[in-house]
Amino acid sequence: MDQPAEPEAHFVRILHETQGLIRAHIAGMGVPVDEVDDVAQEVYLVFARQPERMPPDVEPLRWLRGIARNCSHEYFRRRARQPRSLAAIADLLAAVPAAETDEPETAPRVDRLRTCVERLATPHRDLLASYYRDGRQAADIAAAQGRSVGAVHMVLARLRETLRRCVQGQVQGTGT
Amino acid sequence: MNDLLLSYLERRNDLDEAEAEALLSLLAAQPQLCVWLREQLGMEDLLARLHQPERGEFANRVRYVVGAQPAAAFIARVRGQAATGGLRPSVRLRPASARRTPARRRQRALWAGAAAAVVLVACSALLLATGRGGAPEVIQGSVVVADQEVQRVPDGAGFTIAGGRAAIIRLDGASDAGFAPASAGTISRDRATGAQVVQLAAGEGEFHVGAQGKMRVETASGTVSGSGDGQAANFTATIGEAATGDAVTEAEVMAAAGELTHPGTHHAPVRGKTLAVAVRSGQARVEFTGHPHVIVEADQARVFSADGRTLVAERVLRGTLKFFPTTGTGNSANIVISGRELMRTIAVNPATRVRLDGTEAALGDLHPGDHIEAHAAKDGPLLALLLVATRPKAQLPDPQRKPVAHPAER
Repeated sequence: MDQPAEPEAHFVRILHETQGLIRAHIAGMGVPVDEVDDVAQEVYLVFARQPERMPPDVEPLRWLRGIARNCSHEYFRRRARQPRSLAAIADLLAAVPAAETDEPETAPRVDRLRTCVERLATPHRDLLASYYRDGRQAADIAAAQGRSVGAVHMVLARLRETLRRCVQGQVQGTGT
Repeated sequence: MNDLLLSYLERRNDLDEAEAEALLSLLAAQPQLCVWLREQLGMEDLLARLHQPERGEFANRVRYVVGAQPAAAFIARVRGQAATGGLRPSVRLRPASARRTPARRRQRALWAGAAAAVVLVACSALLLATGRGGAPEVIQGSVVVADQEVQRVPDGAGFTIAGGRAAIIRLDGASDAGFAPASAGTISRDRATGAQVVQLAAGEGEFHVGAQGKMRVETASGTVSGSGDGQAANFTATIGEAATGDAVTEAEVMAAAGELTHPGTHHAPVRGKTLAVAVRSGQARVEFTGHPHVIVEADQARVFSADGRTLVAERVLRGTLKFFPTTGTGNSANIVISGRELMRTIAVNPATRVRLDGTEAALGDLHPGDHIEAHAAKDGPLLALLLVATRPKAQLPDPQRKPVAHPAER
């Protein structure tokens, strides 16, 4: 009876099945995390405007990744001083097999990450919360802690590496 | 850790040419560094999701935006009606992608003048004296100065946007300006304040003012200022023509914003140039000769006549539906939504349109807890209200709670 609902339901299904991976893919191409959702939204708007352009024999995820690549390049064109180089770097990064491709659902990975973060020392947890939850700039954190901005980014990078190993260890049952 | 990688993680959008190319070469030559960087970025994304639970609403947000496309068309139509025989082009609160248009048009040179040359000389002298920045750089589209396409817009030189694609020009202070096809203007710098000044002679511009930036957009009808003051601002300014139209009082603007006021009537015909201002984030200050300035805030749009009177006002209010209807006047009722900062009361009536999760609905379909985006447009005597609702997935219908009743049903 309600024929228009069918394409909408199709879109919603694809959206729910792919949004976690598409957003991770966009982040993995170097779009800053604060901008990832905006770029991802554009991806789905492009898709929603012309869903018929997706060939029937192409998986939606693959099709959406193609749109995500274009949208990410467009983002760098608008926002970066060196858009061509950043777009080329994005292509290199997109070719790297990523951990999330083995696990389409984001929630279990976030749950494992939560467990790993809880094991960190309080100052490190506070640093992550300041940076990722409160949106404080590294320069502000550095000034408050009497460190250099580079040092703050160095600590953040090491924490990310530690947490990545921890999350991976949980998957493999080592629980590191 | 490699300094280039650290620079990338720290400020990738601001890398200079040498840094960006060196990093690209490094990553191309050492795949293991690519893997490391990809893992870092993947963990950044996961940490952001952990610490920003609101990002879990992404799918709902997309569903809303996709479902709101007809709503956007509706608002545009309201604006179009306001400008019947009037505003060209209509105000648009556009996504970035909307800057691209498919058809190419013949280039037109619309702007030239001795005054621009004077500004050019003055600002060039200032730049030479202060050594600040280079000429604004064209990063998208075709910008023509003196019949020649340019990559940098000389200070104060008159330019037009050629072809059918919007142009984006990068300005100082992490700011940029996008211009619709056939727009014309100049870009210069105010010696006294240091603000970049865009003189928009025709068409439409979409302006992003960085957190530390200062920008002033001057038009024949009025001036729009966006000042970073620590917070970025995004706004559009459109020059139009009002053949006929009625002014809207300040009180009516408040009514359009959903606030309970008694707007009264004050409809004076307006004719002549108009300036439409729509603010997506931050705020913009609009000034007219002899009139106090008007602040247009985020999610507001207004169309001004050349004398500063408001012709059309639009406001978008976002929040969660909190309370059942309270008594209004006549066949109207009031609903209350709780936004980020305060609660707002919105008058609804049988003419209020409702969309719930992307489909047409009625007021009676709404439940407390629904996310509401209210688009209110005031066009002369016409107040149009559209409620776009999304229902959080976790929320199940609660038979104990009375749904919001349609005023006509009470």
